[in-house]
Amino acid sequence: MATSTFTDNKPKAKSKYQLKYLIGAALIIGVIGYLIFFGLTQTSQWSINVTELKARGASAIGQGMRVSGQLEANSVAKDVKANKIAFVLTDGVNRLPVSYNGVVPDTFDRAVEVVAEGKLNPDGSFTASNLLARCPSKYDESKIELYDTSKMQGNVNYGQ
Amino acid sequence: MTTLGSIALTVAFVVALYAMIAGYLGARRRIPELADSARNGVIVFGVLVTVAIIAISYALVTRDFSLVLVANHTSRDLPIFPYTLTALWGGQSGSLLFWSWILSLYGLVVVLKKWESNHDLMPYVVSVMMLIQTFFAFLLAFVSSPFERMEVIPLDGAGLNPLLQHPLMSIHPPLLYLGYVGFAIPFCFAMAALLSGRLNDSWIRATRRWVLIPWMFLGLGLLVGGRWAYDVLGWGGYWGWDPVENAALMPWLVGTAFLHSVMVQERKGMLKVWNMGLIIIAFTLTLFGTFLTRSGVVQSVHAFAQSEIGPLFLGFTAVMALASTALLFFRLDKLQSEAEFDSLLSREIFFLINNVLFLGAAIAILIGVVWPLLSEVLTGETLTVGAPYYDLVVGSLLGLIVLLMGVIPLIGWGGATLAKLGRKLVIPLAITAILTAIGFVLGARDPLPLFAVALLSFAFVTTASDILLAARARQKNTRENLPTATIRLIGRNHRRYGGYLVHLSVVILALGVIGSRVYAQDQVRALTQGESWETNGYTLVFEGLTPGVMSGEAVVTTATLGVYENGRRITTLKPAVSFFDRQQQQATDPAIWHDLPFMRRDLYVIVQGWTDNFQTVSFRVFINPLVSLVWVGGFLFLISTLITMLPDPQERRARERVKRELTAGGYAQPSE
Repeated sequence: MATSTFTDNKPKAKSKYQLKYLIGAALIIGVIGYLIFFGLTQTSQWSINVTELKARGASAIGQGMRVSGQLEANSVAKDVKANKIAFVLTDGVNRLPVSYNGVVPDTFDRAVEVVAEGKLNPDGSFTASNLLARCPSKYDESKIELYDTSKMQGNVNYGQ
Repeated sequence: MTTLGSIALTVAFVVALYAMIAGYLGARRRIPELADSARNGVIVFGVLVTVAIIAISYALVTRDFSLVLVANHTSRDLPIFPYTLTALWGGQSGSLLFWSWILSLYGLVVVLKKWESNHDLMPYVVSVMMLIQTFFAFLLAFVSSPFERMEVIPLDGAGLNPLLQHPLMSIHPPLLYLGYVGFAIPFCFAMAALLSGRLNDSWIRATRRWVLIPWMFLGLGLLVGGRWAYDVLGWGGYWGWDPVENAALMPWLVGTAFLHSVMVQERKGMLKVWNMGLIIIAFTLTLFGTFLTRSGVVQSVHAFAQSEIGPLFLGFTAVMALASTALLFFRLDKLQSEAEFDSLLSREIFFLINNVLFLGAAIAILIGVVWPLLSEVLTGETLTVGAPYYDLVVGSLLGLIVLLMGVIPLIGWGGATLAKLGRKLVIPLAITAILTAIGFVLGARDPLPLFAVALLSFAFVTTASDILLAARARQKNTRENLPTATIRLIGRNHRRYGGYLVHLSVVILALGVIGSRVYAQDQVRALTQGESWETNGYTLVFEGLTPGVMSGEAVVTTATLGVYENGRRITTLKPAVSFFDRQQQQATDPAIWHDLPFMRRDLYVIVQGWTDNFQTVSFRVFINPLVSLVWVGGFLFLISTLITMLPDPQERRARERVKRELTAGGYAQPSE
């Protein structure tokens, strides 16, 4: 659509005019495109579940990712003094121990599914930097409410 | 009442369908009676939807738990005003009804104000508007009725999500809807212009204000939503690049682009296709945003249920986007540019670059939002991006936009020379250097925020000096003092100087964003009663915990912290945790101290948990520098936008001219 604004009735006489603006347009669109490409390649994370993580084996160690899984019953251990929480994500067969020390979402305690954002350690445990809890709605089990805590890392220190 | 509301919606569907067809045929075949009946259809539709709104409000107020909407979103303990009424837009069917109602109100205003003065366009406007309403009325009457009944009538309702029980939450959704829905009006005018083939600038004049209104509401809605998140969610921030926030930001960015490029069309008769395209994109993005947030295809903080209307919405969005784009291509020959760019260094070119950047920012956000789906198609793996992506990409583009914002006041319409521009740059750059140095002294020591401060200072200086220089020039003739001259100057040209005031507000807001996002800190510590904690120059003394006090629906546990600075007690903070038994959910209530002078930073404290029989409490403290500037800038943004909307003496003359042209012309001649 942008280029149509540059069209005119006498293309031959104005080809130099067109070229100048086309180069400018290409430059700006190129910058935007490169920024998006750079941002995607630099910051993309895997979004996988516990089963898929297991299948990836050792190649997943150290990668940034979001892992989803069910919260294993009675696996939540909170240490208020040390500000730590540990729990286990599971798909029924595979288990992923997760540790976290940020703000725990208000809906975590009744979550059926948890998404942990963070990194896999060499020992097979997972260190999370964000938690996201999905809860069953009280009256209708088929309805899923989402509560995202990815915002809880709002205090990113760019300068340092 | 319930039956009445239900019937009203079914009849509304039929009326919308009729008005859509009658409006189109009335205009095409030039049958004034048919066109007038379509106009009446808009009025009848407005009445019918209002009846449905009253019926559902009545059900909410009388706690009629036989309705799903009432039973799922309210309870007997919930105060009638405002929260029981706000439950109207808490669920899907209620929010669809609310959407349709707002569009019908906008429709009434447009029809009553513009029917006579835009006689040739209005039947088409009505037709397109009622096409949208037909879709919504169809959903409301047959797919997702707000009057759906419970199979078993419960004794009490499920209650409203505790996080939504906050005063700001009773104005945030209506503001967002006013913004979202409002973008339909310029779309209707644009489509009417394309359908009628009357593509002179009358549609632009008729709709500029109709872009400004939803643009203002959407901006306000985003700000109020951010403030709600800050006051309620307890993570110390106000913006998290959540898909639902992004869905509202995208049309706002595209609307901002339009508000700038429309000036080029008005002055030079250029960018006609581009402007039409922006309106189509903005409207499509509002529909697509609704689809995104309602379909459950992306994960979001907002507790919307997955629903069956997702595919219908996607289908409608696609049809509207394709049909409007096809119509645009069909009329390309009538949208020839009347002029060419004179010079690379002209205001027109810089506005165009600004437009491409705004659109680029919207596209970058869109790609980020759908990246989980897109990456699966492209790479076979599901990938996600979060705040780092948006901060980097959108932040860079907004930085470039701020640079343009600083340069544009120095460049005139038509063109400038580099030498001239260079001379004009000297003083602003010198002042920018001084301001940046002050920023450095005050604490912006790292390259990136320092660079941001320099860009913002530059934009501030050139914009403010443009106003001041014009006021000084006025002073020479009128001998007024400077404040009077400035105010009168703004009064002479609301659009230009109101726009500049919007820019200054944005600079203030951006400074708050930079300070609070780059220099925010948070620390955690568990304290026993009487213990003190030195952090960031403050001393916090944990004075005690009051557990388990009933308050409304919740059981509230409150901690008391004495805050000292330099040995002097400055305030007492009472962060709390509320437990909502009915919803089995807890809510963190942060306590916030806006530290003086100039509200330079917020001390934001939450209770994270307790142990040892309430003897030890874990606190998290956030220090948020300059965050108050976000709200100050937001308030100034509102005032400035209202100033731009005031009618100008010049503009009034222009509109009267258009009116004369139109009344002379009567109905449009079909173009073929």
